[in-house]
Amino acid sequence: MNSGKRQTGSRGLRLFFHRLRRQGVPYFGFWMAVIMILIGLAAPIITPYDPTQMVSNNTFQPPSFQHPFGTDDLGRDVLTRTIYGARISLSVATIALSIALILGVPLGLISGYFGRYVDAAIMRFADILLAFPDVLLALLIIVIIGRGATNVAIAIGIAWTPHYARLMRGSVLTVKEQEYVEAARAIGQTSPSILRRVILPNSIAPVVVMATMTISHGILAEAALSFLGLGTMPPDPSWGLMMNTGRLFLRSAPWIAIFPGIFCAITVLGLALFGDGLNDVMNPKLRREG
Amino acid sequence: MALLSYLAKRILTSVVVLLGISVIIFMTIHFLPGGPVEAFFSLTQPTPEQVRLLTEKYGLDKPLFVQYITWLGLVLRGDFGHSVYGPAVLSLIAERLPATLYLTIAVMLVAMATGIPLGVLAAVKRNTWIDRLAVSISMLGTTIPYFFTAIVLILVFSLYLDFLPSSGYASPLQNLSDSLRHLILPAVSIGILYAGTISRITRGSMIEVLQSGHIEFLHLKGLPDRQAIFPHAVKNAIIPILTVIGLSTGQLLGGIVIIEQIFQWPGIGNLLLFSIFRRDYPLVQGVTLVYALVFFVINLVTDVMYAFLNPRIRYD
Repeated sequence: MNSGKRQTGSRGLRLFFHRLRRQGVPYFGFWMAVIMILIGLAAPIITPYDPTQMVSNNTFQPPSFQHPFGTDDLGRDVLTRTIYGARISLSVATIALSIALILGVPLGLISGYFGRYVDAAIMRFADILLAFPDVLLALLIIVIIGRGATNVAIAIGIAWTPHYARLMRGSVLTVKEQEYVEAARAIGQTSPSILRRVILPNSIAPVVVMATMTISHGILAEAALSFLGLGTMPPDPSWGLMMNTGRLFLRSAPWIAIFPGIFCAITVLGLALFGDGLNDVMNPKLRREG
Repeated sequence: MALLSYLAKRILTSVVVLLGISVIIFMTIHFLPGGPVEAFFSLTQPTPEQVRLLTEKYGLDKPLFVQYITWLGLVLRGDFGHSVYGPAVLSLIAERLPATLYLTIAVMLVAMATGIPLGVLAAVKRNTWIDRLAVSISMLGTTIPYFFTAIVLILVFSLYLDFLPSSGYASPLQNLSDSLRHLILPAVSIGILYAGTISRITRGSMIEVLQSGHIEFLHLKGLPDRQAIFPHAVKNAIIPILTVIGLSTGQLLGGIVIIEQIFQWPGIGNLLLFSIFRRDYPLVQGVTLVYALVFFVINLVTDVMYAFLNPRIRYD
């Protein structure tokens, strides 16, 4: 599991890409996701329209040369809103993931390394949070902190934290029995230093894999919560929000809901394929079990 | 004996977790700006008399811990308080729960009826185009957002083909065929998602069993493929599949909130959203509690079932 990680710098990265390429489909998924991210970043260059500006004499236009994805109920270009939507989805997912990592990794590290009461306390708290379905926990947090894209990111991040804490703890439990940890202790390194320099780098791999696998869930969660009207607020473009608005005009203007849905599905699929492939690359043992 | 002590330990930790859940749900109302009084009267300005009654009932002038005990005592006796609109929270939930359970069962049936055969087929035809097709289908199932699937299904089957209703609910006790017609689209939209998960686990589990000596032995004995696979291999592969089914049923409760919203399904997911939008906090609290309880019970049953079914499990 550590073979890829021990390689440092560009050589390790090259080896990683070599293995990923050999996997075929995940490599394809990786590029699908990269393209979607680039489209999101390059939004102002790709489209001449403003994603939020309403044009009252231009509503419900079917797909045409000027508006390849048509226009919505307020006359806004659906293509523009869809590619700007990529920005919101990806940033909410990234912020959520960062929160989960910033909270979950240290908690798991402390829990696994110190054991005993610290471990028991942190893990029981994690159990309690895990006893809620993720969506429900996120909803509950939104009830307290309010709606909006940032709050959705915070809610998803907190809902994910126990998953990361638990995974990190499991990984630390294996690593802390290794001889090199014993060696670090023998030469007089203090606990914080051992945690930071020895345990953390050697136990982070499964967390990295899970992070790539869950980023797609973050996009889904953002879309779901915005779909419910609790996430991104109008007039900002979000795939979930656009699908929900489009649902009302499904018979007369299906393009309003369909195109953001397709973009959302492609991004999630790309990231999921990549995450799966990464899992296989980092855990060659899993490859055979499919 | 080991099993019994495992169960005892599992139930003991469950009680701790349950208490933790109740603390979190209890605290949500206190975290709100304005605190509990505001939460219980989010619609109207309460009279001093109303505030006094509320304070007395929930012990709001006492320390937080005492308030929690008071609240827990009321909840355990079935008093979930009243919605800000008046009706008792528990009766509102009881009214809506059957529709949600009905939908949940239908979703799981759809997921199992498609996921298990797909997974078995992929495992048996491993590394052929059939396997790759089955794996791709299940991958699509798990990655396409289910609310998008729902929109596409409504577009095709209700609006274009005019074949199934696009929303609404009919009780199966009154008109079964009409009820099933309303059930198909919501159940399939989210069932596909879980079919994907179930088929992936089924495939993995089946491959492991098919490679084991047990099935090879049956082959050597001259048993034809079909008889070796059904029922011998499937029986041996079923434990992880059942576990995943249990766990996904729990997670499903979250997804059903959205599906109920799209299809105007009068379940507790819809009630939860309704209460969030109306700032009906006592109702939010009650529904969340019921949700968490159902989720908790499903997970507990899955765990216990797993322990019973799998003799190799280590009870620690």
